[in-house]
Amino acid sequence: MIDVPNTLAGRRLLISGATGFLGKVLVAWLLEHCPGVHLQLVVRTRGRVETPVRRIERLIDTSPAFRPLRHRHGPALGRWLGERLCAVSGDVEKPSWGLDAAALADLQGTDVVIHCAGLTDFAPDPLRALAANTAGAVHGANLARALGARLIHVSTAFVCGRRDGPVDEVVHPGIAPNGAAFDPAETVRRLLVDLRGAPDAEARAAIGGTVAEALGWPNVYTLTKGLAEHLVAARLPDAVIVRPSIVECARRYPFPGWNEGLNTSGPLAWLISTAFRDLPARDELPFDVVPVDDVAAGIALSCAAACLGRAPPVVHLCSSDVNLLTLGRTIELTGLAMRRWCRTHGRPVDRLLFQHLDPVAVPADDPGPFAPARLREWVAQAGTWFADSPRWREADVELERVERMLRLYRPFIHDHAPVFRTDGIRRLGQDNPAPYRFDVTDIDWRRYWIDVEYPGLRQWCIPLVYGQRAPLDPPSSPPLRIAASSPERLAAK
Amino acid sequence: MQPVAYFRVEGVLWDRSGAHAAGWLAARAQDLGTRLTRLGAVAASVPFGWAPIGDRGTARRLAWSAVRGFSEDRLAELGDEYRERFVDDALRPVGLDLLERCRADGYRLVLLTDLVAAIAEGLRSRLRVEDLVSNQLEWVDGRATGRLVDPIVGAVDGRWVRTHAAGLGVKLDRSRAYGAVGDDAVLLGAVDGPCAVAPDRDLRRIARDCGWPVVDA
Repeated sequence: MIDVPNTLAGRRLLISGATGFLGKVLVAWLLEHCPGVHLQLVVRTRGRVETPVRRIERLIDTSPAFRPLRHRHGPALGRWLGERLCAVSGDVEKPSWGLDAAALADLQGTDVVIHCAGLTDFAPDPLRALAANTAGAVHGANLARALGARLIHVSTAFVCGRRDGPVDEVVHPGIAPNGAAFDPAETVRRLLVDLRGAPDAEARAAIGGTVAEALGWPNVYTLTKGLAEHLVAARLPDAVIVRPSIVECARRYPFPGWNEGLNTSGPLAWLISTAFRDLPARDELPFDVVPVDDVAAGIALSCAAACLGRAPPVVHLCSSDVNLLTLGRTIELTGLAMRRWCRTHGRPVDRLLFQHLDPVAVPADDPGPFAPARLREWVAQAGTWFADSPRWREADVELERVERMLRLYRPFIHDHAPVFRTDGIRRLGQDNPAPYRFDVTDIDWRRYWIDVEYPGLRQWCIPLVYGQRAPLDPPSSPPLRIAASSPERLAAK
Repeated sequence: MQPVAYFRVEGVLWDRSGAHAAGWLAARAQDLGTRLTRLGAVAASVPFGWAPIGDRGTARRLAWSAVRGFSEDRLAELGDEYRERFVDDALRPVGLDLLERCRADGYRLVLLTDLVAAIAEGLRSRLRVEDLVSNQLEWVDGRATGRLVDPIVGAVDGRWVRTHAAGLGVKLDRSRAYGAVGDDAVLLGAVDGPCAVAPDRDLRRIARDCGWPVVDA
């Protein structure tokens, strides 16, 4: 058993990515459940006017992730936070995360660096992804070493690449997912040279995709996260690599359904929420989903274990080995959730469509008459039969978007069936009381998917597909101001 | 031992039959091709329901074969939807009144229904009834095989009543029962306090012959 709140009490954690989906929940979760901890958040400021503290104040004041904290502390929140939280300006893509000498001096005594920042798009510009995902992690490792702190590097379970079957919690620096020996630093160097010489984003994407494919990673995202792991493990052997799978809506904290941004299930749920019914997928494949608050609990537990020198080098925060959710079940549950949602929110045409047509998985290589490619042929044909109109062209653009998206998702929903082993984190949290353990065995996927996940996606994610913004909470009046930290508190360990 | 009051859902508390539920579910199978064949099974069950007493077990088997291949998720979710749409607001006041009277008299309440547990369990919980005797589907690897587990509720041999009473350690001759269709005659004949509620022609005739009280809606 690891006493997480007591182990972390008085410890100083330096966290990157606190303004992201996982980062917000992690910060809120730590403040809520480990109130003795001191958090130092590295945030990128926009423009000269905004200070890091102002950005964090606005974030805490308006993000739904901090609702429980705001409700609990009310007007006293600023003072309460002042004793537990500070923010420094930085940029993870720069050496030492862009922290100046004064900031680095203030950060001496940091116990753990938690690197959460990263780009989670499946098809980002490889240059940007290398800077954020790979260079950011390397700079984090160097920074942790300079501060004499342990590093928790948040990666992804899908760095396993194109794998089927059980995936262990290990990293073998210099061995690619396809088993080939390679030099990660040299790969990054060459990749950067090639990418900088490429004429445009399309060429860069092609170069990134080719390198990923050659080493056994399915896309640029997993390539850049994978390279980061290899470099971090080689540079800092005592680093802890935490690998969540698909991070989805919270099931308890900050409240059921909270989500942010367009993550893996969001676009798929959106697709099923359109007239598109045939998803090229394999029913029996694991769809490894973890609620974001479980991931936060897993990171906090790993962090406490790292402080005690008991953390394993790699930790999976996944569900497929202990509570399997298959893709076929996910598709069916999404259809059922959609059906329920339409009963209360849908237009009559939605009700008609979704009460009578369910999404189904179809083979990717023989997707039938409703595959996007076939529909595009029909649309092109319709354009020749009837008057050519912008509507046909719009339909073609939309279908091309769907086709591209399905190509991106194919490795995860059709081609490979990895099952991530979670022995490490389960051993760490054994006998710990809730919520200080990572336990996804009690998730009832039906209840979670229909009552929590799908409504959460509808509220927080799907509006983004249509160019809308996710709703924020109204700022408090007067606006939240975090009281300055007392020096004694900062010095205390 | 607390005395027991059995309430037949179909006829006493609710106007429709299990075949309606099976047909509604069949029309919502996951893929379109399956829906047609399953609806055919439900249609084929209807004449058995009209046949003389003795063939209604076959009608139930045929009707519920319509959910073959359904996942537990689909049946639970659609079962809830069916109950909300067709059961909750369509409960018969006369049946509810009798139920409340039995509760007030200290009887342990039991619902008997042709419906499958995925639908009936929600009704049991809503009516705050202690026990439920419903048809049970056979499941293999999380999918319904389309077969009902014996004994079939509603079949005329009445084994389902005796099985339930034996399980509870209840003596039927100290119990009450409320039925509405001819199939319920076995149950009503086995208890101390039988009552026919808005009975069909078969049960009305039997009730008259046996001198059982009849409550019309």
